Amino acid sequence: MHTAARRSLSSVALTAVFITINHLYSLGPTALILGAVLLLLPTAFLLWFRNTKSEIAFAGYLLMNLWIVAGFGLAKGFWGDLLRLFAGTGLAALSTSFPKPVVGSYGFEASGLLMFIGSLFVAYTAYVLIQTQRAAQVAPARSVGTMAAVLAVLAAAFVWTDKDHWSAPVDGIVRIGVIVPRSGPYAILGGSFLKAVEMAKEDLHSTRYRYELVTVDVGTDPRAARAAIQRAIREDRLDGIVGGISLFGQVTKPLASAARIPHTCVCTVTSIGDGAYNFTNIPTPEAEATLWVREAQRRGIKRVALLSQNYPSIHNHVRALKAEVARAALPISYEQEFGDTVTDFRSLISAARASQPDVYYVEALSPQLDVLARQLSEAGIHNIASVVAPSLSQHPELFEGAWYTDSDLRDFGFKTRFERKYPGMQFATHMMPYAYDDFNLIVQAFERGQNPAVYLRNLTRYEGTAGPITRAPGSGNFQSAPAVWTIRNGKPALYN
Amino acid sequence: MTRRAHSWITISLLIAALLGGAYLIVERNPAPSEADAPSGFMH
Repeated sequence: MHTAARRSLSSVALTAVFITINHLYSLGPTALILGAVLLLLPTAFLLWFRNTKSEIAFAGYLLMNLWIVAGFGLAKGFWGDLLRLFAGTGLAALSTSFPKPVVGSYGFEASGLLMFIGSLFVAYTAYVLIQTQRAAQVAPARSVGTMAAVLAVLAAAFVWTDKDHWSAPVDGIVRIGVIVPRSGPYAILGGSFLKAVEMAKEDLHSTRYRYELVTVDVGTDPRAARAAIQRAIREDRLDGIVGGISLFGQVTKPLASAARIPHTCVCTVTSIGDGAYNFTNIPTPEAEATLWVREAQRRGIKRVALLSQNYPSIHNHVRALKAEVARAALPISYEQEFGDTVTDFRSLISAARASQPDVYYVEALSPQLDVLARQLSEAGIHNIASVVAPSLSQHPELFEGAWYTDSDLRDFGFKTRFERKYPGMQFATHMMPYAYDDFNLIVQAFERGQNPAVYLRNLTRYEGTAGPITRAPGSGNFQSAPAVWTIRNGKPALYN
Repeated sequence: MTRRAHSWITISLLIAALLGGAYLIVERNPAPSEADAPSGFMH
């Protein structure tokens, strides 16, 4: 009896250590309290049992064992870690009907596996302890066989539930969440994004299902956004999500994965696209830079001056541009980054001019963008180029004649229709066509009677409003080729 | 070698294989960086 009890408690203690380590990743230091409970309670029960032979104490000890085996070993360790990691990865490699699993750090995954292995020892030693207590014979082969059968049933259930099945929408209505900010600094873009999706919905004719938009105003705070998105998924029973702005795409990603619904995002944080439930759709800074340099070379440009605002997304454009410019051996004659409080650019412009560039690369957010453009114009400088920025200017006439790269617009009539339908609403070329296409991608899946996430996993090319978008199998990022634009008669126009 | 020793060697090898397999899967699927910044204009 003593040996069986000692072995059982040792297994519990060792497994409690693995459980604690594993939960440090999700609970932080609170996991130590969990570890203490898992270690001290069974010890107390067993000591109580040894001293009094109380059946309540023995039952308490076995219940703690059951909690460790069922809750941590089987549910978390086996199903949530081992099956997800090994079976999930294998199944996703075999068929796109299975999502690629989310993989954590090695410490997290390894402690999860050890949690499961430890629980097998807990189960076996508890079985030996029970048999010893009953003075019954221990049958190792039988107990191992029972455990193997339980694991096999769980594995079969995992394969069934891991697969994304097609199910027709309830009442024939497909509810698509439109997740964009309607207030704060992104309000203008968010409002336009919603209009582009509404336009896509109005353009639908003779569809098999009815499509409803559920707008979710995510505001400015990602934490409040999380609650609003969760509520929409749960209460409005969303079948898919179209979203924009990476800040909120990052919040939406785990929620869409948990709900197992597709989430298309006009986002440039590429890690949002996991190729399972989340997909991004927008040209990369590298694609913009490649085209920009090609156009600069075509124009015979030899020297470039860079004037850009200190802002994350602008950094990425400038970084990609500098790499491409270096590859093409185009010298940068002047480079200056400015903060978001600068309003007088005259000394900066003079210094840039002194470097005798052939073109001034300008990128900033409004209103500084327009202030800089006005001061360049006053200085008689009109050889301006950029990436995207002039299309978002409140005063595009200040950029008359400037050229820049932006998303292509295969169907230019889309822009015309949008501006006619929503006068005064800003048409952001790098966003609106993708919002329109993203909605249609989800619609196409339902109309074809396919699980929408599986449909997107299989889709490698789509002829969209902004031209063809392509995706490498397994990737979560749709790629598209940008185009060269210019400001003509005070408005953005495709250069060719 | 006793049967018990055989069992322990088998169990140890299975555990090592599981942990090694997990290492390979984690290496091939690096977790995205928390610090990923938007790379496109205003996104």
